[in-house]
Amino acid sequence: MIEPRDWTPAQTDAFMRKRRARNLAIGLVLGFLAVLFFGITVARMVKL
Amino acid sequence: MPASLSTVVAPPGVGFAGAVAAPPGVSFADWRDYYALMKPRVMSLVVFSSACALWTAPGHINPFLAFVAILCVAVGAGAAGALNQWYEADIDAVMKRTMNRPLPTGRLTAGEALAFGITLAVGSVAVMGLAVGWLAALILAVSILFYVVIYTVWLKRRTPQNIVIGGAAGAFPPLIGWAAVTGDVTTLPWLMFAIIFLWTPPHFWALALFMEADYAAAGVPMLPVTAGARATRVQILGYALALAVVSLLPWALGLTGWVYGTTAAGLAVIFVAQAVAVFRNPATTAAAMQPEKRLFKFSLLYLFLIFAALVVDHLVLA
Repeated sequence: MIEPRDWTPAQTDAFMRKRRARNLAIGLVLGFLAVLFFGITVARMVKL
Repeated sequence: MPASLSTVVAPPGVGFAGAVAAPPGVSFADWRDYYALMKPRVMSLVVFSSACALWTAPGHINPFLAFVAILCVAVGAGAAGALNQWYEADIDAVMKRTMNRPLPTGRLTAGEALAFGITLAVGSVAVMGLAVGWLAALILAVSILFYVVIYTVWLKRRTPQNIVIGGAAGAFPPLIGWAAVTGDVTTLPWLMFAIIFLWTPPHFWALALFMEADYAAAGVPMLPVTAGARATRVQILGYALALAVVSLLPWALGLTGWVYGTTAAGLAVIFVAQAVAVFRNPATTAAAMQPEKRLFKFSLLYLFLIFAALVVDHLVLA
């Protein structure tokens, strides 16, 4: 495996871009789960 | 994991979206690769059939919990798809239809796919159990295990009946949708199960007939590879006739009304007619297998229409 310090600038840029996109996706999923669990809690407490 | 999976690596310069090659052993995957791992097209069919059962089931469910149930089915199906791709990366790498998936191209590593699949499977079953009900969660868990263990690991590489028995995995979603509302499983959801179960062999064997070279190259013992085109066409016709009979049972038993009955009868006539066209086709080359391609496409439409008819019938009766 090549160490990150030995990557080309283009590889480093690509890696940073992909990592940012992954972090954003994980953040959105965690936010969605928070809303989901809140919604489940409310739905289990009330009858619609 | 098959031993040959360790040999599936991204070739230099290939392996992730974009023009820059990932260094060896490094994953540059993004969310699209994880999404592709979940087999979204298969997921849509699974979601649709479970949603139709959920809608058709007698009783009441909180709309938000209904959404959660459908979401869990979708995520559970995605988990099964991810674990299937994790195990089958060596086969996928040699088949034209699947060689651009995230694992064969090296955009994702086997470890990432396995962790993703297990996380989704455990998460979907746990949320289904806690939010909706444990019977629905149990059936969801069984369907994931059935698809991954019984079909992918055990049957697919060993027997030409792989798709027949493995087809049960795709037939579970209506049971889950029904159980989410009622907390039990009665005759109608079992008939929905039987419809998908009998629909699966002709659907996949039609595909396998015109993709036979691909399956043979990958060493997958699909029926056209092991028994030949003639025997496969006979089996397709047999399953089409059985499907026609079973699809009419919900109406014949008085579980549905005339909307479903007439739709199912019309669809059954077309399905059998397409299967007869396949049966009479002597072609051995993919280019001459137009009836097989037509049956494959129609079978997708068939499943959507017959389940939609169940919902419309339920609404009309209501």
